[in-house]
Amino acid sequence: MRFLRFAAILLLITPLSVFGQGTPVRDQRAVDVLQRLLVVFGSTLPGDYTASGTLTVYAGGSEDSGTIRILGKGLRQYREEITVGGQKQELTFAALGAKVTDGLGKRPISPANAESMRGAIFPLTRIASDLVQATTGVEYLGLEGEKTAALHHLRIRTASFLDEDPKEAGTSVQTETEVWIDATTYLPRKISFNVFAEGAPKEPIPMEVVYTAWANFGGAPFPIQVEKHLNGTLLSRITIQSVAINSGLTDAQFSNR
Amino acid sequence: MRKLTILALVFVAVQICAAQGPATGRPPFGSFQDGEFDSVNLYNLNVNFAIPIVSMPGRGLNFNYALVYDSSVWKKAYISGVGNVWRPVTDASGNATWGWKRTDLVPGGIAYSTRQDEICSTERWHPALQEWIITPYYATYYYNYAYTDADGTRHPFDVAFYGSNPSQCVSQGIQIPTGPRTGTATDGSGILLDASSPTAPTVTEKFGGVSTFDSNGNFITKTTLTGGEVQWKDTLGRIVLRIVSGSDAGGNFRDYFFRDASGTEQKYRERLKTITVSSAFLCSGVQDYNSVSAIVVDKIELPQVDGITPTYVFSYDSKGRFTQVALPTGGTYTY
Repeated sequence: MRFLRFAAILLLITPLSVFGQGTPVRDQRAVDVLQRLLVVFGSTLPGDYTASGTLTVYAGGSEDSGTIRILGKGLRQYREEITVGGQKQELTFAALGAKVTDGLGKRPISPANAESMRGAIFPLTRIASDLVQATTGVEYLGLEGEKTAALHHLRIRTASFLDEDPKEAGTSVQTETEVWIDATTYLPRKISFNVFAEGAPKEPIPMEVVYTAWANFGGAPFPIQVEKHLNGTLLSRITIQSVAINSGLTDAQFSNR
Repeated sequence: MRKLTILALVFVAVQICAAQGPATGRPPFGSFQDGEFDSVNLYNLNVNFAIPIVSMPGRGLNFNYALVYDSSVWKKAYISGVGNVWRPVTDASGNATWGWKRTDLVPGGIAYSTRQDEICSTERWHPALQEWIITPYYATYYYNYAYTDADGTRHPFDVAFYGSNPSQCVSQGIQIPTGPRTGTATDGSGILLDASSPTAPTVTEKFGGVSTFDSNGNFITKTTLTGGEVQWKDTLGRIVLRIVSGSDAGGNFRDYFFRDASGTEQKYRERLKTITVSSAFLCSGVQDYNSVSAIVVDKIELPQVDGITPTYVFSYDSKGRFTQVALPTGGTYTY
């Protein structure tokens, strides 16, 4: 499957009742904006993509530079490979959860963080991935100004239920993503969501991903300047230099077994 | 080596950072330098002191309430997929304490952590997406139980279990342990934990009870009244402590009312103030915490004596750690 047809995704965005009782509200203004967003990206999503670039990591007053490679396939498979100072870190988001791999081995990423951080650098597949879930609601929060641009502010809520066992009733990963979309270009300007430290599920830490520049690769826009902010502080700055579309990535490249 | 810290050392610290914040209070078998007012933990230099409000002995069930402070107000936390960050030390509800403990002391504050573990999965073909959709099933893992006593000392328990088996996994023949849910504190204090109800655990001290009930049937009841006043009553229905919050020209305050030996109601007034703090430790590989408003205790006013209000006054630095306390007697401790 070289391309994911938007038709299926558009159908999944628009209906408000086909999913039956309990379907979260998707208000019409938000749906309109998301449909415009999808149109900007053409009629298809790439079946897979490989982006390469550089990044600078900021922590504790120091700056460290390295490279980053981002792989995506379909809506749920996503991988970041980061190399800084000869040390490699891989974040793999597959259907079966997410894991981080480094010199110390492979460890799981908590479900809450996995759902929040999946596909954050390439927001279209992330948004589409949320919208295909029946448990996802979309809310239009308003038109906001930022410098000279007007931004549509949306909130996307998803609930991934983890366990249907009655004893675990209510146990689910609730993910809330706020999205700001440029009212002129209909490209995402930034998204924000919460991440959680290990052992502290009640302490949300806001993370913001800002897309400051876009370029076309294979006919589809791709962010080439991305900044990640944690709790209001710059965490990393990413520059994408090349993007290969539909190069035939395999599921095995996203295995986290 | 600085670069290594970003990706390597950060993750080496996972095991250190994943558990909990710095040891506060007076951990058993610790080494302390005790002053007349404070106690310094020689292992981590945490300064601990308590200003007693009420101390009422009972037959098996004592009621003690004190304002407790620990100077270790930051902890290093690990965010999976991100790395290490500085975070404020928090209470069981996830609120930053900024050193001041306001947990209800009867029963003691019990904290625990949860995480979702994937137990099994199922697969189905999605014709619209032309993809296999794999649905993982998770169970809640309860762990990291710890009881913080009246002195602010943390007593950890080696009790960890899953809440229940996902039915989808059971049908696949996959079972996970859902117990045992009781255990004794690992620090040798003899405190017993019962987490039969994972989200409402109870503890019992080895010598005398601190749970709501003791073995003689005595109990302490905490009630929050309309308007926010909090009352503690004993078995006989006597109010042993009530706390009322308010504000005046001097800012926000919290009044603690109790009865002295003669039965007269007395009052401690805790005045609060808001300061701006940030971690700004500049430790390599650990992201600092951005500026944030912190509500801390400015001063504590004791009942008047001969027309004079004896007062504790506290000072803090830009990292939220207290730097000086002026005692009601006129002396000061500077850190």
